[in-house]
Amino acid sequence: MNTITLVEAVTQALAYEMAQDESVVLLGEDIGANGGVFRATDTLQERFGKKRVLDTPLAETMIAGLTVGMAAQGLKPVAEFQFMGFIYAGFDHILSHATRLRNRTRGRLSCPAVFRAPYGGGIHAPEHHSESTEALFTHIPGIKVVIPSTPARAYGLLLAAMRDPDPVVFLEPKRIYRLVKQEVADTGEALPLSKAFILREGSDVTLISWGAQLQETLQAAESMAQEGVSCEVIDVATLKPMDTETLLNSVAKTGRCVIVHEAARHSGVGAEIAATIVEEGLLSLLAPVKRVTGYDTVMPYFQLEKDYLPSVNRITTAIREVVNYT
Amino acid sequence: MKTFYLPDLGEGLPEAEISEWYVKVGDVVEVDQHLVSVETAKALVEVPSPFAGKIHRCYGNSGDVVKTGAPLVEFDIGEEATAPKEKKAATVAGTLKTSEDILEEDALGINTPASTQHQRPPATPAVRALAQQLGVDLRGITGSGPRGAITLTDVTNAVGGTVATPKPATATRSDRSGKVQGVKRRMAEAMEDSHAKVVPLTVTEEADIHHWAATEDTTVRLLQAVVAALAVEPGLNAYFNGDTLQHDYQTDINIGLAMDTPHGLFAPVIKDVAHQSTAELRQTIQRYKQEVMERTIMHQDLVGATILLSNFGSICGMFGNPTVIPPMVAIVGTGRQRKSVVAYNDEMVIHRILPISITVDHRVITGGELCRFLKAFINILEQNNEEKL
Repeated sequence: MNTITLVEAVTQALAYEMAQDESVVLLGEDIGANGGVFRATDTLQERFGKKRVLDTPLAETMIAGLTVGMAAQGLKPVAEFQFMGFIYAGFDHILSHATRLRNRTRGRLSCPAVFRAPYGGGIHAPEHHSESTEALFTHIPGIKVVIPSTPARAYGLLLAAMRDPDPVVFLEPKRIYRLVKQEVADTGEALPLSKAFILREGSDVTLISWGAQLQETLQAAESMAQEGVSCEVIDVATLKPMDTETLLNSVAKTGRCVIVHEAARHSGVGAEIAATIVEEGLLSLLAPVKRVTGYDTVMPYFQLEKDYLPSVNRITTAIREVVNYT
Repeated sequence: MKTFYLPDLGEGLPEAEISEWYVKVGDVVEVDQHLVSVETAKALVEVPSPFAGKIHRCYGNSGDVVKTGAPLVEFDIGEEATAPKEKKAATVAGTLKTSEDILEEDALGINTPASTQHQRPPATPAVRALAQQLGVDLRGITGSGPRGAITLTDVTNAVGGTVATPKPATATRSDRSGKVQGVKRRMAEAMEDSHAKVVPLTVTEEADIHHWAATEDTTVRLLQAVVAALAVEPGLNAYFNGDTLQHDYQTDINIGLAMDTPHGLFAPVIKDVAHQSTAELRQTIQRYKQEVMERTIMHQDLVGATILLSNFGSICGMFGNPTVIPPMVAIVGTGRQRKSVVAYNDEMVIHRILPISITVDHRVITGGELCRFLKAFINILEQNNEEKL
């Protein structure tokens, strides 16, 4: 029985791909000798050597630049940014170059890189360690954004990301890194990118979320079932390119939609989903599309974390509002 | 044992004079508890305890000078080497919740095939809102919009008329023929239903209304007369079901008022006429007239009639045999008021008269009941205005 946690699934996927594709290299801070601050790259330097698992200096801009260069020259680098909050220093290389290399060189060069980072709040960490700014990446053309929510999907989606010929930002919800274990066979089978996963079937409301917030969303669905409201829960997983078909089919069935994300409200990915549903699914809607999100403030320190992150209560309140709308 | 050395109290001052001890040997102190006040060249300073524990030794008495860095207090810490304050688990990597729960779930989630046939009728929220406002059920309406969407026009047609839409009115069809829809269709169906079920009995009379003022509000007076006559024969304000033979007398008198419009026959219902004032009745009639012409009348105002009133004489006609619409059992029709030569107190006079035709469903209402109602109706109408209650 190979029951592993989400972070262990990341390790498993990296190990599998490195074993069968020599061009896959890892780089990041403390990932080699230390095995990563979350142990995501544990034992990998031992197994694959220092030339394929690089401990970089504390310099995110350099990590991003190195990654673009390596990718352009035939390697398949998987760069780790220790926390999403530190990826901003690498923004320029990612947005100005990684996403544009193929277009700029008319296909002569491309950037098959993966930029991984633990993301999201709820772990009592200091500033910069609880970022959830995936919307900054989904806005940019030329990059995919993937957020797994379970060990099995972390394994399958990371494999797919590494095999993708273009840059992928892979955000790992650290709050649930070790929360549950799941049977994940090390078969090397990837999951499709740009597919949303229906986690719970329902008929009254469609709940859409990703990452760690699916925990609260599924709990809210269970709670509402006691009140006689049947919720369908969908894990978006690949935020870009998004599987809008699955989302629209569900809303066509239920007529009501609540989107849950921990990221701040304004211009969050929830806004993109809501706009798409209204644009293409207007005829099915029985109530406004509601978003339950983090607030438009900096993520607070840990004493207020639970007030910031969408709680089960806030989600069930929103569900009741759309159910009772007409 | 732990020794607390006098710290730098600020800006590199070399020494301080002990002013007052707050603790003595043997006292048990907490972290941050004030141990002693000392006077420096600049100020009087309270010195807090860096440890929790028992005071083992105090170096110096009040008035003694202690050098910065020299021993000040010795503590007996006991077993604990660190402060009792809980260590906050805020390391750089944070605190990750762990558990041994095993997730039983397919990585691909649940496979629900997209249902192409969802039960709900397709309509935009604005159309749904209008349907709700007008009391129209969207199910059973075939949408004429794109992809079968139900439009605003579809909804208002279902009520019985076309509503003034925001865009300019489309040209009305020049040819009048076609399948009857909406209001006209309902009339066709209702009349056929009536003919199939009702056994009509019509009796006519004339009311001498020479007492009426020139500005008499005819409709209101007729409504009030119906109420008064029903007090004599309440059986005409009832529902009859021919299949069950159930004859249900209705307590409320809701009079449906026939209104002729270019779009068809409407019969908005004035509810509980018996308890409406004259002013209220006139107000309601005016409102209904406007709403019917503007096609904004609500569905709930078109249902619930217990008896009908048709003032066809306002156009033309003396007597008629108006149609009873089941489950109602009666309809009062009034013809055109006209001046006529009548015998009054054995003299020939010219009086204004109002012809009346009342039809009832003879399955359940007898001629006697009808005529007694008619007699009461006439009496009330013929009452002198001073005699009117």
